[in-house]
Formats: sequence, C-alpha cells, structure tokens
Amino acid sequence: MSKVLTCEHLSKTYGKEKTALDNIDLSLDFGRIVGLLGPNGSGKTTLIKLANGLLQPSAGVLKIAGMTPGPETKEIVSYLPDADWLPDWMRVEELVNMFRDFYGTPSEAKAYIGFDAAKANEMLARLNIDPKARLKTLSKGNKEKVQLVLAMSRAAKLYLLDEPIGGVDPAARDYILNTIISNYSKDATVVISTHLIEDIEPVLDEAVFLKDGKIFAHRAVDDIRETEGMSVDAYFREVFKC
Amino acid sequence: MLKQLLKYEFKATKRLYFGLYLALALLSVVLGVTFRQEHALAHSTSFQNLQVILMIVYVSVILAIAVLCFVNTVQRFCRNLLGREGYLMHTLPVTETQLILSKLLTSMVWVLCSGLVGVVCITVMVSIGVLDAEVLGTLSWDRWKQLWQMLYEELGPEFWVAMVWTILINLARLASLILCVYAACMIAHQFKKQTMVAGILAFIGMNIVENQIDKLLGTNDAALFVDVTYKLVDVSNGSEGAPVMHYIAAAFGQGASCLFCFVFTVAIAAVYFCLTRWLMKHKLNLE
Repeated sequence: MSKVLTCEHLSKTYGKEKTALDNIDLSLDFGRIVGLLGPNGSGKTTLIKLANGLLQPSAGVLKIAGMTPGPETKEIVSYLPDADWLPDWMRVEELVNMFRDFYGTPSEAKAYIGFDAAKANEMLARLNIDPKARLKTLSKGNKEKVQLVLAMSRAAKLYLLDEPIGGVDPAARDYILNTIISNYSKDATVVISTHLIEDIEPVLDEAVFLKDGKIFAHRAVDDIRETEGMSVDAYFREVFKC
Repeated sequence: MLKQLLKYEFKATKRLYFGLYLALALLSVVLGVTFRQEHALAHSTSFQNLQVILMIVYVSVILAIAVLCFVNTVQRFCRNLLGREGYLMHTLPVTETQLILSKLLTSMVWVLCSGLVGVVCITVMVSIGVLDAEVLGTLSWDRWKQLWQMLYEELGPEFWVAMVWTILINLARLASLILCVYAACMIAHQFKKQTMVAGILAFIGMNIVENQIDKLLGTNDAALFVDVTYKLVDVSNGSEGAPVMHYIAAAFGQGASCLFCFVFTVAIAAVYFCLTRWLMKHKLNLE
C-alpha cells in the first residue's frame, strides 16, 4: 500500500462522442500536495469523481490505497466537489453532527477518529459563521467555506478538492489555501484541481497536467522550475496556449 | 450506519408530513364541530357554504398526503441519490444496500403512518360530530365486548391467521412497489435524454411483467383484503388461470397458499432490490 492513488489504463467516455479520460496511468504517493492542472474539459473533475466512485470507468482500473472505490475507501477519502452538494435545509451545526455521525467513529477500516467536530466548530467560529444558520441562508462564499471546513476537518488519507478556490474572491482564496495547508494530516495526500495555478503554486509539491483527457506531464514543481526555467503558472500558459 | 442513514432520512422528510398531518388533525376537529352544529344552523346558507369549503379542503389535504407519499418516494431517491446531494450520499462510508434500505424503510413508514393518521382523523371527526353525552350513554361497552367475542368465536383463529397473512402480504406488496419505483429510477438514470419518459416506461414495463406472472400464478387474488365471510381468502375463487395457487391451496391448505403468495411477493421485491443495487454499484454516473 505504498501509493495512495493509482490509475492503470483508465478511460472514461460519456456516450459515444466525448472521451473525458483516455487511457491514463497515474500513481500518487502519500504525504504530497498535488495540483491537478488543466484547462476546462481536460478531465480533472472526471478523474476526481472516478476516485470517489461517483462515476464508473469505461475501461481500466483506479485504486485508492490498493482498494477499489467503495465504503472502505470512502472512510479515507475526503472529497470537496465543485458544486453545492450539501442539503441546504440543514443548519451548519446539524451538518457538523452529520459528518461526526458518519465519519467520526472508529470502524473496521480505520482505528482513528475520522472527523474532528471540535476542530470544525473552532474553524466555523473563527469565520463568524453562525452554527444555527441554515445553509441556504448563507452567502455563496460562506457556503463554500462551510463545505471546505467540513472536508478539511476529516482525518483522511486522501483529500480530493475540486476547484476549492474557483468561486471565491482573492482574500477568501488565501484563507482557503491556508485552511488546507494547516489542516491536512501530514501523511495524507491533497489533490487540488484548479486552473488558478498562480494561487496554489506556492503550496504544491508536484503537478499533474491533463490535456484532452491524457496526462501531458506529472512532475515535481521544483523540477519544472529548474528544468523549464519558469514558474508552474508560466509553464501551464505555455503548454495550454490557445 | 443504516441507523444513521434512517435518522437523517426521517429528519429530511418529517417536516413535510408533520405539517400535513397537523392540518388534517385541525380540520378534523373543525369539521367535527361543524357537524355537531348542523342541526342548529341547518338553515344558514353561509354555514352550509363553509361546511362545503371545509370538506373540500379536508379531501384536498387527504389527497395531498397521498400524493406526497408517492412524490416523496420518487423525489427522495432521485434527488438525494442521483442528484447533487448524491455527491454527499455516495461519498459516505455506507454500502448501496444501506442507502436503498434507508429510503425504502422510511417511505414504507410514512405510507403506513399516513394511512393511520387518515383513519384516526376521520374517526376523530366522526366522534366529535356524532358522539355526545347522550349517544355515549346509550353505548354499552359490554355489548361491544359481546360483539367482539361473537366475531372471534364465529370466525375462529383462522380469521386472525388470515389477517396476519394479509398484513404481511400487503407489506411485501408495498415494499415491492416502492422498490419497483427505485429500479425504474435507476434504469432512467442510464439515459442521457428523455430520462423521465424512460423511467415511466420502465415502471410500466416492469409492472406489466409482474402482473402477468401474478395472473399466471394467481397470487394477485390472495393479496387483496381478506373476505371475512369466507374466513380465509378464497384463492381458488375466480382464478381460472391460477393452477399453482389452486394446487397449493387444494394440496396443502390456505395457509400454504398464503405463504406461497408472501414468498412470491418478497421474491419479486428482492429482484427489484437486486436490480437497483446492481445498477447503483456498477452503473452510477453522477455527471
């Protein structure tokens, strides 16, 4: 179980026309912060959904810590989708309790506590988010913060964050990145999917570039800077120039 | 984890049902009171109009509860598991079996509760409207006891056995119907376009197949409510194309035929359950 995520000849097609992922091979180590980079429609969200079992591969295999996506992998994967995914009639405190009920108790798959409710409440208090407020009454930015707080309060082995900074202002982006960096378990891997590379570049260990459903490059960030003589953002602009 | 899923499923659905139950209970009391005043205000046109309006509202609330039971069954499955909330539900550390069972059990409980609330509310309405101290004075509880005793002796224990079977078979029928809806939703999920049409056609198609098998075996006769005059449901009556049930009833007795009907209904429900589970496990695509 040396790899947290492996893909072998993984493909995903939507219908007959659209190929979202085309025969990709990828493996990610534990304890890394990985940028999943690529323009819109390059297959980033598809790959993350496949890892969560929300989509089924058309061909190939995807494994999380050596396991096919299922209840066992869901114990160790923390997912932040790029859409509103929580029931908006629920109060913030009810959502915290819900996460505690489902992830917060030790089970066969994990001997540790999978959700830290105290940490979540502390982060919410720091953000001045009323725990009694219903999710639907919160602003877009606050809603995203609640979702992020819930995802980052999990003690997971793999964090899959799909566009965590896509819909928020630059000040909130800093907060979100700070939250990610200061809250993930150090032996865990964080995968951040985004096309806002400049913002996340300082925190990345490695970058996976997706282009037209294929892996264009999977390199250490330092290696890109040294070899190409440019930042990851500049390299991205070079590679994906229209 | 099933316990947790049930907890949040009831939490999500109770607000809708409790509101309508409360409205029905209040209307039952109000209508009961108006019935009681009927003689005194029989000549008042406005009173009669009010009574008609209240009656229409009352029937509307009962219909709303019935519609809610069906719509909520479909909606909770589709929106919660196949819509945006599916991102949460399918990333919880639970199995597909637990997800389907939580939806099924909650829907069944609400359908049964709605029926019970309906019966209680109508009883309350009639009681308030008809029963008063005078009427209650003429009622002898001993007579009720005698009537009950007579019924029990006349019908015998077979009646109660048949009642238990009727309840079990109809519960299985309810579960089978709900699971058929779920299977239709999962089939519809496989289509990119015309999803709703695909779901409706799948539901109709599966029901036609089920009914044909039902007719062939004669199991549909036994699922109806027990006819007390025959003490036990008469499965052979009018079931010309029912050799299996007829044979079982003749060879092993009515109890065996009821058991066969129950097992058959559970088997149909299990087929729908397995189909739903398989599609959810292997063909889920939340795009």
